[in-house]
Amino acid sequence: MASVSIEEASKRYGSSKVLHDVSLDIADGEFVTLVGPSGCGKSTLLRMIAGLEDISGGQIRIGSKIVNDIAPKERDIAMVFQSYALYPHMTVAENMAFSLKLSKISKAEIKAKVDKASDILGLTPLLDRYPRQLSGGQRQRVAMGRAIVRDPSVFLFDEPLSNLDAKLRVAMRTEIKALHQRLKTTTIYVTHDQVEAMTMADKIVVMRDGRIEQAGRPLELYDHPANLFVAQFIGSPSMNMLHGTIGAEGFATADGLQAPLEPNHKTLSRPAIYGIRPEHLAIADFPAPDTLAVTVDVIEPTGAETQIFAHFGATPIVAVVRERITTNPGDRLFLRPDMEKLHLFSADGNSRL
Amino acid sequence: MTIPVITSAIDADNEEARPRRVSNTANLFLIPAGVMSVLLIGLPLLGLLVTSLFEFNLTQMAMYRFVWLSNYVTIVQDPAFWHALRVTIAFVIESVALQIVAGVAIALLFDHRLPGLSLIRTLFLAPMMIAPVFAGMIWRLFLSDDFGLAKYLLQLAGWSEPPLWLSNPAFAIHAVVIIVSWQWIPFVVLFCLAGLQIIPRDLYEAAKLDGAGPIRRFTAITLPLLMPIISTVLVFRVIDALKVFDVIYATTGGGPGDSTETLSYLVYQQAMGFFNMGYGAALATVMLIVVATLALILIKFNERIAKGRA
Amino acid sequence: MKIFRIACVYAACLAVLAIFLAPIAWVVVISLKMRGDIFTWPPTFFGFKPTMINYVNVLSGSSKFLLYLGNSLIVASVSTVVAVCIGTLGAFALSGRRKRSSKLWSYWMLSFRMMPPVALIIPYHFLYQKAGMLGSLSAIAISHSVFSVAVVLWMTKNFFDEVPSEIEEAAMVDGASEWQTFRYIILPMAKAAIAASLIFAFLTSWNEFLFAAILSNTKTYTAPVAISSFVGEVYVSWGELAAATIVGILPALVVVFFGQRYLLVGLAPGAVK
Repeated sequence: MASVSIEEASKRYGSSKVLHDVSLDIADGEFVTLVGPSGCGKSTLLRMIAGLEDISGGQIRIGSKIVNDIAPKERDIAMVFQSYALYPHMTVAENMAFSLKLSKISKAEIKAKVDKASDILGLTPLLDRYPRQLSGGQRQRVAMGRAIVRDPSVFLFDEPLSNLDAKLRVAMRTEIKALHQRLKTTTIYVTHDQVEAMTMADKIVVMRDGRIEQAGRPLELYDHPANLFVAQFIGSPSMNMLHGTIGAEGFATADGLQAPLEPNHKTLSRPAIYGIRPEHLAIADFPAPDTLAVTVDVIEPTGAETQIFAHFGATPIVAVVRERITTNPGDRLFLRPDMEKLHLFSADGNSRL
Repeated sequence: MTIPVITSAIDADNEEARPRRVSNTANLFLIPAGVMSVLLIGLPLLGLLVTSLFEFNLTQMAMYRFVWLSNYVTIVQDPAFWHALRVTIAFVIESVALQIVAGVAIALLFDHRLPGLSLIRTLFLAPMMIAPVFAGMIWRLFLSDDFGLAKYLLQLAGWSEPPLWLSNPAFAIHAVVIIVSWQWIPFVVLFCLAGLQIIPRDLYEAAKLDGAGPIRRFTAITLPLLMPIISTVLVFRVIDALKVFDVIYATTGGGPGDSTETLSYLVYQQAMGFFNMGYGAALATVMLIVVATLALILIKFNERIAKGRA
Repeated sequence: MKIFRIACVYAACLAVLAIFLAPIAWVVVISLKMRGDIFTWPPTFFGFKPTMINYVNVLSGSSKFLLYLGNSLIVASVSTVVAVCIGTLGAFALSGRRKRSSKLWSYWMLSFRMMPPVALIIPYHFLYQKAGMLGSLSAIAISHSVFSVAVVLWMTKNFFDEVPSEIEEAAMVDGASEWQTFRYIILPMAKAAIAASLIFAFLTSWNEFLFAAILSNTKTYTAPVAISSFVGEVYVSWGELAAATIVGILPALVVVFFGQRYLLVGLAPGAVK
């Protein structure tokens, strides 16, 4: 068990800087997800922690030890790769035992550890099979077994569920989380799927273009996104955005329509971005000063809820409501935003108002 | 693309999104191979160069003297050298042309998905795996005037007085061309087959619908798409043809006369026949330069073709 | 109509194969003929009484050919083992690793392929004479090793390059050193490629003539050299010569018949998908 602290870490490939002085503290036993669009640097950061990439600047500590120049095997970490990277010529048992064999532990001890790990993951009947004989989910588990067996201080996961189909992904998500609750090992988990990130993390770190946009508890980022990017990245379907100006009457959108605004928000007369999540829009029976009048485009019932795709002026709006509705495309509808869940951002999107 | 291009083998810097750490122990692994090549290739070549600057004959070992470039001057004036050069070049052109034309034709024939054809294709590789010396011997027996099957078959085909292939100066070189081509046409076929199988069948379907006949389909689709492979094969075949030695030794010994005396054979003769080590070394150096130049030209040509098509 | 076309293709393919294998077949026939039968005209493919006497003579204890075959076997085996050891190590070092000089190495290896062996006979003759090794099998084996290393390195490197980097990274994280990664992970994965390169190196050495001729004496001839010594002879037992030739090409024929898969891996890496 160990904490991980990243201090002003940066990474250069030739002349291009891929990570810009990133700092992050991960407490012992925490489950942290690094999430962001492709190319944001999350995998690079993970690999730097693992020791698979050099650190161009700054430091990384595991426990209290600076590990910048220490080889991966000395860092007491274990990694689960996106493609599982199982040794094809070894059985499941041999795959899991490999690292233990290298550290010259006795055969009996190796067997005990492998048995224990495979027991936790349900791999015992598969111990003599080869990777090519296993399904995707099973290979996943073997990859995790290989990591668990070493009882490391830190687990590193590099998009481990990307290659699985949707249903399996959901099931494995729960398993990994349960595993973490059982073993309580510090875990750093990289994914591009924000639902995964939100559901699994104690702390979620949203990254973009080599910088951390925001880090904190998942609900924290959901309720109080620090900027437009985080606001739109977290939550599916993404937050609705209206561009316009804050005025005395309310929020005036670019195409001249009014959106309701709390009195204390009307302080500044400035251009801003008005954000409201689809799930915080309720259907109103009558038009009122605190409603938005939208024109419906498409209704998508998913069974548990109904997604409404509409237009407010020129801006597309999405609303998610629990009730079934019978509106038709082209009809007018009135949506009431939950005033407490309103978000205002500066016009350039970089900060919260 | 899976078409083997010579320089793709050279391009060891694979485009990976994430370059890996340079490891120092990797260098250690290279030491045996490195030491071997330096000691057994690099130094000897240097020695060759040095020897070429001497007048040195093994039979009179004590009497060697440093003559700077005079061996090379002698080469330029030596009619045997120019003759050997002519023979070599004519041989290369003739044999490579034959190999490529026949190779492509046979590849086209073999390019069908029929049961049993893969066995035929594999057995077809036999001539290539045989030592050139044995190939030479096989053809001596085959072409023999006393008991060779070839003579009989040719007579059946209407040629009542087939020549003494290996003892007739006019025919000897062509006999060698045939033997060498016999060995290496399977090589061409192998590569061309691989290239043919990459060409998507839809292109032919589309061409058929457009009304193109088989010949047109060949010239408009097959040939252009096969060009990268053909040029790769060309490089290999030309380089190998320049080096030909074993077959000649085993069949004609450079003769009759000097009709099959290629550059390789000339070097061998001077060094091992007359023991003129110095002169032989100079000849070998010249030959190296010729081969290296030709190879570089061909590789550049090959690169350009591959880049144009890929 | 389609069946006719298929039949034509088969016929043509078989004809081509027959034409190409005819010389070899003819030598087999000669090797099975008694002296008198060899010279009958028109020459007969069948219709004679086959005899094994030529093979018996060639392979008997009194014949030296057995010794020469043994020499070929020793030289090929030793040079192949050396080549595989050195070559796989080198290929691993060069594969996928960012070495600024790896392009240089590749050009170096390519120039091996390009070099005419005749260029080296003079320095080699001198070298081995000075070392007092002229006429020894070791000299021949060493010379063969050099070129075999290039073959093995080329072929195994192509395979190593295909191994996903994540596997090596997993090994690194598991705690394996470069050597351990090579020995426990990469090498076992490459069995097929190594087998193919092994076969190739063996054949290359078996078939090699020039260096074997230069560096051997009458006791250490290899099979190709022994055969070539009959080139100038006038009075020869043709039947025995044919038998010796067939025995000499036996390894090649065995590889063609049984090692097909390996052949294709080796000859056209990347062309077989």
